Amino acid sequence: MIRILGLRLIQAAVTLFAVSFLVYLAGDYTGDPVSNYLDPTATEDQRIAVAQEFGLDKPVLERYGIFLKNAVQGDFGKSFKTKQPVFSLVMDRVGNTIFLILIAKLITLAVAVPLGVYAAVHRGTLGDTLARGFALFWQAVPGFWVAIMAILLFAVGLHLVPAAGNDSWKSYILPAGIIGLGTSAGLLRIIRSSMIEALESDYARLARSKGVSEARIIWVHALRNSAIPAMTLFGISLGTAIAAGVTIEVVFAWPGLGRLVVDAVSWGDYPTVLAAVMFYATVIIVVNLIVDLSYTVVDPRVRL
Amino acid sequence: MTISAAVTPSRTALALGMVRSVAARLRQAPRIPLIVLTLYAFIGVFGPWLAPYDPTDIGTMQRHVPPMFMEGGSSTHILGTDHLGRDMLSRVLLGVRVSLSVGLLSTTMAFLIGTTLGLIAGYFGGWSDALIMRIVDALLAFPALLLALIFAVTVGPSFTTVVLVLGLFSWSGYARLVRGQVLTLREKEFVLLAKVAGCKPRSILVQHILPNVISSVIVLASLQIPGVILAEAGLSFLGAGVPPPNPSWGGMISQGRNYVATAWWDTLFPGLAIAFLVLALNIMGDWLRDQWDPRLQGGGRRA
Repeated sequence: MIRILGLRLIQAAVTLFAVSFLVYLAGDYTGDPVSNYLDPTATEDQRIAVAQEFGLDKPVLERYGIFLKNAVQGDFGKSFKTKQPVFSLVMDRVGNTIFLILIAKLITLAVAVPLGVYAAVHRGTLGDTLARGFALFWQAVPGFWVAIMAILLFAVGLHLVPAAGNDSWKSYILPAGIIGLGTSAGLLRIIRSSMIEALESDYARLARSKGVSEARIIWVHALRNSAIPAMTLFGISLGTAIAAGVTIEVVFAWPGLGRLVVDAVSWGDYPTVLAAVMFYATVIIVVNLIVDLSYTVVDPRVRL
Repeated sequence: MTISAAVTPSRTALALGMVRSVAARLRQAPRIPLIVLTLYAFIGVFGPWLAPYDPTDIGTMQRHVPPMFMEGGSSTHILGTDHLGRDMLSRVLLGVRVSLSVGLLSTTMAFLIGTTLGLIAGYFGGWSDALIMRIVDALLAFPALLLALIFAVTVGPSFTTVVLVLGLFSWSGYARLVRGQVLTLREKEFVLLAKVAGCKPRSILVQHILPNVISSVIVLASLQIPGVILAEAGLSFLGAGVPPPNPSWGGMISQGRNYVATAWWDTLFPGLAIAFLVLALNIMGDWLRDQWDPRLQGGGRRA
């Protein structure tokens, strides 16, 4: 178990390394960060000065090496745009994004689990059809479009919630709700199908014949056995939620990491992009590792 | 000679039989999504002749004309006009072509890359397997939209860039699926016999293994097309997709957003166009999977 864990951590480090290299090269390829920073009338001396200030006067592989050495010490360099240390720029935004995604994922669970179980238990009824329709709807609509329409209806029209920013708890309702419902569709469907399988299984029949209450069979026996595919999908859907979060943050002018990345990309501020991507990657890898580890808790037959 | 022709059906006969069986299956397909998709395909092909106006034609005197069913609207612009006075109906219709072609081209690209690498990883194992599967893990671990965004902006947004970027970041599912199936197939007798008979690895893979995995891969592709279409819309929304003045639905929503309080039709119609297309594709993909490969859980989706 410890050995497997160590192996997974090494894999994660290699993955992070590969992605950082790719993104670093992409940033370098964009052209000359120096001309991004200066206006076209700048003199040659000014160019050299800026290049030195950001350490851009060395060959790309050497710079990448320096970047790596500094990055492991928590120094991701200076922003091309604001000259602030990138690390603190990212840290200022991280909290807003983590909180948003966290609430969104709670909404996902709160919607997908009961609806998925209900649809499986009452298969073929109107409720089941409605639950599946709900899932089909949220899988088909682009989140950013729903967000704009929701702002029009609930913020501009009915004045129930703010249209942008995160000034109060009300600001979370629309963005977290839309990310959460959007990613609940897949989870709902997988819970429904694995619950149907579980409820028709031999152990469910045996439990019924022993006189175990149907509620216990549904919520304890069957749900526990449907948990593994659902957990895997939940881990994967974190990536989906983060990607959806980027466009949602743009729509709601949310002061989070997603909007920081979009702004930084369009500005050519690659140190910021790189730091943010590394942060996202780390979160996703850690969460998926936790999901893998928790399999053993849910299903003792699983050995890592 | 006549005898052998009677015993082994010719290639054309086989092909005809396949077309017939596909047609027979399609007849049982869910009716409404099939009609919707046929309609989209028709608009995709004949869009330029169906659109009443040139979708890039700017009419400065007719900005934000409302759709015909609203007060102030008229039948000259059935869905109204946008902030530059361009005809919305024409733009939405021409958007079909952009969306479908990105969806199909990127999916084809991912399909080819993923299947090839999956065959190699599964059949040869060893370091090629390790290398390919590490890349797959890395791609699955990252929000592809984010990486696609970075690379699209880096290379410069264009139709080609979007197709390449989405294709390059969405092949991991195919590779994983194919590899898994090849791992079991390569131990089967027909493969071992082919090896003994002296077949080269390339011909074993292409002639003996590929036909056995191809139907699952096709089903996975059909499940992934809608995702690619949504990703294209997202990229265009963020300004990293198909650049203006091309009528891309994501780009139209992004521009319409600034005027949504007064001219909501600019945002509503392109969004509806995406939603109906993706809905129909999802239902058809699910149906295909139930028909051909019920065990497949493509993209985490399952009926």
